[in-house]
Amino acid sequence: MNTLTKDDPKRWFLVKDNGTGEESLQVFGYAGNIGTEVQTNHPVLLNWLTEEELQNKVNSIAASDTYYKDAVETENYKFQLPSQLYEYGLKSKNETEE
Amino acid sequence: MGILNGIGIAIETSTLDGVPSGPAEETKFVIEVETTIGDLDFKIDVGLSAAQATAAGINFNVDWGDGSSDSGVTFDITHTYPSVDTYTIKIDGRFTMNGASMGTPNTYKIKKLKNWGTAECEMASLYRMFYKATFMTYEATDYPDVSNLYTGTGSSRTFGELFRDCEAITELDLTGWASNLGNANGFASMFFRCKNLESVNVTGWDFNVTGNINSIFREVGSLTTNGCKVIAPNVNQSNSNLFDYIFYFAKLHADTDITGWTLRAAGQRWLSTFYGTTGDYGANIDLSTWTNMKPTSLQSAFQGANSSDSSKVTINVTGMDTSICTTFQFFIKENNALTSFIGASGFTNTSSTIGIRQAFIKCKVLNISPSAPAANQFPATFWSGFGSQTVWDNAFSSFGTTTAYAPPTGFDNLDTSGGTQAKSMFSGTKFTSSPDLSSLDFSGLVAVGSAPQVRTFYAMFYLSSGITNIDARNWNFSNDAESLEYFARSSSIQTITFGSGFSANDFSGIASLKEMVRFSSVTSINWPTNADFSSVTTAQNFCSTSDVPMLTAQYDNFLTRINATNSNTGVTYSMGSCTYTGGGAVATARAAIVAAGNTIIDGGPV
Repeated sequence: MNTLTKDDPKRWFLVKDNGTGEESLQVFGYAGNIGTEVQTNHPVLLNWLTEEELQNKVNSIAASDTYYKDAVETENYKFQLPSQLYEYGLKSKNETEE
Repeated sequence: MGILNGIGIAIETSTLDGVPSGPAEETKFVIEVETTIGDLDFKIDVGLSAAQATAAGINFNVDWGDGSSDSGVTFDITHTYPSVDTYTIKIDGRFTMNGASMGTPNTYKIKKLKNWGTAECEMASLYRMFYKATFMTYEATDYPDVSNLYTGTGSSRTFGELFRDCEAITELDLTGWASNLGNANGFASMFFRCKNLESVNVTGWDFNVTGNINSIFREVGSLTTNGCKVIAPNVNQSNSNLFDYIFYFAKLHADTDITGWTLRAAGQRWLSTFYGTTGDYGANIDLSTWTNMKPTSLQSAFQGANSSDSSKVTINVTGMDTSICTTFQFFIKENNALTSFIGASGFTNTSSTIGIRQAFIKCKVLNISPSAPAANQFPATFWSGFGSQTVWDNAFSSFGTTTAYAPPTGFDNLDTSGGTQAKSMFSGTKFTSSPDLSSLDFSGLVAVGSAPQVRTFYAMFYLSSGITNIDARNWNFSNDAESLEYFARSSSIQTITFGSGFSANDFSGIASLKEMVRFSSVTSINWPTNADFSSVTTAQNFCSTSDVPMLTAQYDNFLTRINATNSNTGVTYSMGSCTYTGGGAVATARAAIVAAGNTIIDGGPV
């Protein structure tokens, strides 16, 4: 079991399996402020101090320079809110009225 | 240029047997046409088969205005002009033409209607005569002779679509026709899309015929600055069971007079009757002088009336009898500026079967609360009469978003027991106090499909305000409830109780808890102790990471039930800063959830 502990200052994280490419990503984003923990049974849990660092890694794994940005703006279910770089849901504004 | 063919220049006006004429001494049907480069033909199409034309007695003489003429014409005829010019066509005899059959650009060539020729031109039909004569102005001061409209096979005795799409006509004083409507039997779409019409006067007309007047004033005046002054008092429509689209997207002048209408005593359908009506009259629709308003349907009847007008808007339907009305769906939808719906107090609701779907969407300033005048408040029985309604989607979306009021009297008796769909039911709804929704009954829900935004319960209270407590213990939903995604996102809801202890609510069909309470005020969610979360595949961003939407005991129960019922893997539970009881059964359950291949983000053990 992998854990990002409550007091770990590196709050930007990703969880992935042992595969490659976008499909290996399970969840990535912000773990919340100090006091929140992440626990997962997936084999890889990585974390950074900044969102930019996370973005670089996610894009590298997905082999796309815009994957992270697109994930935020299209409300990709793998993205853990919030983002400081991009507007969540910008490209998929929810229509709750017809 | 055409010649006057012996008629001569008018020097004085006259009448024939008391019949007012148009231009001085003119006694024939006269239109002006204009040919264009490469298109010198003008066709008169009678809109009938040859046999029908014979049966109808079509037989007219036509002076084409270029020195040539044809006589004894009994069917369609096309004339080719020598050059591009404006020509005056004069016709006498028994005549009709049909603009729809003539088609464009043929009808575009008609530039003026100068005279009906009452004395010499007997109309076999007026149906669609000037349909799409888009550039035709109206100069006639007489009226057509319709005393002997053709009644045989293929006939149409209606004035239907007579001036449809005549966008160049600005004024129609047809009061002179009133005593001379012959054997006409309908007036549907007569002025449809006369978009630049500034006034139309049909005072004294007898509309009490077998046909209807659907769409008669549809879109009139829509391109004018101040709207169309419709002068049509005391219309009698007591024979028609249809009353559809009458003022659909019409722009009505403040001096419009539609007082004293009488409708069919047995009832009539109001489909989109005032849908999108604008203008100063549209801002204050007053039907309080009407008799026998008894809709069988109010679907879209007042939808979007003056939706873009920010001034005070009222609708007065005092006296309307809704006892046989089967649907209210969309009926005052998107009345952004509607403040007063006068006559609501008379609304019974004993026959509705189809829907309240989107009925109150975007009624952003409407006051039907206990603080409204008594006449503006729907009776309590109105809300309890929707037991047969199926689609509750968006029923109250964006209600009160600009000016919020308290929930209407009797709202706590809203009967949803027949509801099969209920997504976004209160999304964007704003009240000043929380309604009691504990009596809602969703035992009839039917699963809709896989697309997140159509699932049942999706975004039920998204962006709502003033609703603070959701007591859903007795909602009785089955496994056809599909989603709690966005359920209370961005709302002022504080507590949600799906059950305390055992509950009949069945969560086993719920697939998504995504963003269920994110950006909300929720601090308490009670899940039943028998909750079955077996279908949950995502709880991503359930709440914001700093939020604590569940007490520890509630979160303990949630984790326990997830572990007991959900065997899915790869699920991310983003539970904010919720904390659980460490070191015991709950911690074991949580560890088992993670060990099964899932990810949990939470506040850890207390």
